[in-house]
Amino acid sequence: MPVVRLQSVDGEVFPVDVEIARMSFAIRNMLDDLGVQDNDAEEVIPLPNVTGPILRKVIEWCTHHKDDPPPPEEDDTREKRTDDIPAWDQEFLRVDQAVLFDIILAANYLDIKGLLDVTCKTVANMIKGKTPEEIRKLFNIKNDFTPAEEEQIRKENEWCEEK
Amino acid sequence: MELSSNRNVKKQVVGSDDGSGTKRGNFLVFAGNDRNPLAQRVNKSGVFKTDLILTEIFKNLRPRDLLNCSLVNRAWCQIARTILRNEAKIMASLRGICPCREYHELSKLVRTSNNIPFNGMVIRTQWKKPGSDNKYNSANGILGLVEGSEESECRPAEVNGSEGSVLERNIEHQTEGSPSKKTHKCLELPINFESSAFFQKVELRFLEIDWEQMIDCQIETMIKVFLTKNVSRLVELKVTSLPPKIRSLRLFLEIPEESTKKWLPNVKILDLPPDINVKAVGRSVRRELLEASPNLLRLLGVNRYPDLAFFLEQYLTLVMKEFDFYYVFRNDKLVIDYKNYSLLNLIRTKPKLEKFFITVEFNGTRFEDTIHMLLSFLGLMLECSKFSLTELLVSQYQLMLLMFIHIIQPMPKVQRFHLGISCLPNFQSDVTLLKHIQWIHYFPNLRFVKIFLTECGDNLLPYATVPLKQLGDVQACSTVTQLTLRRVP
Repeated sequence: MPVVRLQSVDGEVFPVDVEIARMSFAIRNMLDDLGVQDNDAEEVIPLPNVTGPILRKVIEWCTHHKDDPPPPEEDDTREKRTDDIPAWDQEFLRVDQAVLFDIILAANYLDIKGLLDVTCKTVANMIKGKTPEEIRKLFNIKNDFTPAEEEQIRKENEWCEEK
Repeated sequence: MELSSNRNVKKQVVGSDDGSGTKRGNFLVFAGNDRNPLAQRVNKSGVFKTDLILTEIFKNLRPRDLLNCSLVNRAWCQIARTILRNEAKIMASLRGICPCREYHELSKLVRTSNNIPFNGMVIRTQWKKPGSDNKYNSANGILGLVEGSEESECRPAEVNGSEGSVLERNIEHQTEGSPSKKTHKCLELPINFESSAFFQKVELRFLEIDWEQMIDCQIETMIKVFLTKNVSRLVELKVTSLPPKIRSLRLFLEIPEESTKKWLPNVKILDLPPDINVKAVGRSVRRELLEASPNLLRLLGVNRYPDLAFFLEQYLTLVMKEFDFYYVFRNDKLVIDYKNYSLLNLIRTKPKLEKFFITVEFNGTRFEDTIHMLLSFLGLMLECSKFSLTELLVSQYQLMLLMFIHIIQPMPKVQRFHLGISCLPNFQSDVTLLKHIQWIHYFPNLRFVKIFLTECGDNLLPYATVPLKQLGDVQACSTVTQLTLRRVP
């Protein structure tokens, strides 16, 4: 199996099967654009935005999901679900919050749709059912509203009837 | 070669209202060092500084959570509300018996808003007990503009009942023939809806009217403005009941009879619940709405026979998404003349139903005499809709058993299932058979189950519910997350 070599920002090099690396649309497009063939893919691809530990996690996820069918097309009418995260992914993402966020950033940077979806769902599940104050506390977010702004938004929300 | 962030850097401003979706795979320059020590840990990685990612996260949230997110901080508010406006249905809700006053207050609020969450409006003239709704409860509540107690201003007064405030001349309207004899005091000054902040600033795409209490109110004019001046934006309309004076929407909107104008040109979804049939407006308004909507994609509301001939005539059966098959078998043998060819013609059009309610009553007739014809009809209907059905109701578990034996095929989209369990003297069947059904095979995505118990004891209940909730059972529907039991007298 041909491999490509991915280099993290801290210099760690990971040999990865080409087919697994191509799960990243960013890498796939780059390989295609540059006309890199499978048999000359010994070249190192630097990934300046991903650290070694995170790149290892990303490769682990891609390796586990390499045989997954392609994700369905976006469908706005489909009900949004976050309770359908596979058990393996749930376990895989049972990590420190900072690591989870770094994986999200890496998934976005490398354009790995499945990984981005499942990590964003995980964060969404952390938000669900929480009050604004609980959310701020959970993620250490500062409330930058003025009291008047906050009151305005609160009143507007009171009028809302969601469907 | 390098997969460089320098190539990027399209940082999409999700807060803009362009409605564009998230573009995946942008090469982002991540946030630099954050100066806010409180947010150090999170912002260190910059996830919440990246609008694209925050948008992706928020797209997994339901409106109620997004409303909470809008109160976290300014950035979250911007993105949450953009998603709410563009992708959800968020209605500004007038739900009391003083809709004009509520509208007045809402418009004042909107005037000072920079980021409105609403994209629709619902008007319900409900009578709520003071205290049951925080709008009526708060000392500085929404109706606080009116002098005097909010309670006296907002509750429906008895005829010739309450006194007015000094701010306004009370105009009492008594609705003739209204059984509840509710009255409502309109604001003295007529509201100029067209120039009001609400209409100026809110892009109204959804409208719902449920004029439950038969009051007269100038908010009727708003309906008119909505359906004439603002109608090009309207994509979904739900009408349960209309103000008493509106017998014909066409006349109310002053559309000439000879006009061929389709006055709901962009409406894609009409939701006309069955209640509209029993209120004064009735079927004529329903038909006016259908005829006015040339681009209709989905007709909701549980439709019944009375409109079926009309739907067939207007080629509307393919947009009809909900249907209530209701039949009472009487002593005479059933001949499926089925009102009479309408149902057969309906099958010929291959409807793609999303909700199918099957309610059958047997009054003294022998079930076996009629079951074959009934199953034939149901089988054809379910065959047409097996990939579109999301909700199924079967009023008789005996019928359900037979459906499983004879006709049911896997229905992958069904999420809601309602089943009536009753013990009729003339058709006893063993409810325990239900547990032998491979629910998960037929309904692989079933999530919500309601069981209605009629005329039978609780002793049967475990047999009906066990297969739906016991995860260890191979036949069980492990996807079910909510099982509701309701006793029906």
